[in-house]
Amino acid sequence: MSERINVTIRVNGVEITDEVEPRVTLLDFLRNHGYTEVHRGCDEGKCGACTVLLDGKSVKSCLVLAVQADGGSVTTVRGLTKEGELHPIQRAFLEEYAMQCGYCTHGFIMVTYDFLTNISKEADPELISESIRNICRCTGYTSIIKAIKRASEYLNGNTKGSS
Amino acid sequence: MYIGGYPRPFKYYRANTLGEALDLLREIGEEGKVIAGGQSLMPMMRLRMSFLDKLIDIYRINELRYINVRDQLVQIGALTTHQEIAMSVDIAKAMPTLTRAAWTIADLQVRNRGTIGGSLAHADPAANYLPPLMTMDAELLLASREGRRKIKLIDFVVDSYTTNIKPNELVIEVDIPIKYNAFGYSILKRGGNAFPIVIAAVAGRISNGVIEELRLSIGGISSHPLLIEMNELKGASVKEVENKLQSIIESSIDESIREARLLGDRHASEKYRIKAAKSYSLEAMKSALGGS
Repeated sequence: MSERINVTIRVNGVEITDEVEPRVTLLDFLRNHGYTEVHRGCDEGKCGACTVLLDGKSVKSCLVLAVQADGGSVTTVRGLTKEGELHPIQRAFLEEYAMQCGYCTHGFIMVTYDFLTNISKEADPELISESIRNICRCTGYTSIIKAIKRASEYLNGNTKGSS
Repeated sequence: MYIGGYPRPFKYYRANTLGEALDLLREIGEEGKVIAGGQSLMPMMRLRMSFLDKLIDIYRINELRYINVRDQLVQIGALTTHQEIAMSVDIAKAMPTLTRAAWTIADLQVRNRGTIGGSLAHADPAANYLPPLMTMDAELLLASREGRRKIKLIDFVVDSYTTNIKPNELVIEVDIPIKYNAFGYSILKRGGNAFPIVIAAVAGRISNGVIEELRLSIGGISSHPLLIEMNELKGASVKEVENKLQSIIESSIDESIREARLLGDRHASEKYRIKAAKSYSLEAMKSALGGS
């Protein structure tokens, strides 16, 4: 058994402390502690299914070690929901039916959150294509892009959406 | 527990300041490997393409995270992320090709985490930054407990994934002189967050429609990015070169790849990459000449 390091990560506001091997990824740390909404996709940083927010910015949790996230704050989709009320981005994904099997949805929602908060509130199409490159293996991209646009309208105060 | 994608066990060291990092590198630099954002190193460790005993995490050294734009120089701290570079208005004004290079890196998640110093020290032959930085004569500042030294990027990168860095050294800053006013950037990549196949960047100085200097750099087709000085265009007016641009670019590329070790894989053969390099270079050149 190799060395273990004490790691404390705040997940959706709850502090989680554990002793982990340095080679354990943030993805495994989260899944081992019950945050199984964070999905393992390709497991090598290509697909984005495991995306979470680390200190407010989207990262692929399979490409960050748990020890690197020590002291940090992680948000998963559960952390977006406030008092049982869906976040506008979740609502947009639901209303546009932006999922087929649903496996990639968590990653898409988290990167959309970062994109609409920090990059482009208006969901500029060119910036979407340069920023959100997660993979949907069912190829349901059309609805996903519609959902991102609808979410941007919700976040900008248009509660009904344009369509 | 799922074990398939785990790196081999290693010992983890964390440096919180530059001083701590340089001390660690002096002690264990030989057998250690530095990790910054880890967006290239982590997949390589997980796929067990890269083995290491000691990992030195420098990501928390906040003193290496800055963008200073001065009169004639842009200084970028090594741990500045790609997204910070992409969003910098000052960089977009002074050197738009660097902005485009940052925006076209992988995806938002990778850009949030990956750093310019990490990318340059990794020296992937298809790294987005190499061609634009080479056209602009970028220099790297390296630090160790023995002192600091500056090295031109073109001399720093030796070959694919190989640089002139010493085991006890750390890239701490990228310095890019502001001396050009014409820029072009063009990139070919497949979907998802695939690595680019060809990156072409142009930087030059054009005044009153006359070309004073013009440089083309191409990444992705050879083990070391190509840097081509378009000397035969010097002194010519933009108008008179327009028609012969394609043949000049094609012959300059043919000339410069003679000595190069060409890259090719199942996604894009050598021949395809050269063909793409010619057409993407022409595009980049046209936007440099048209946009000044």
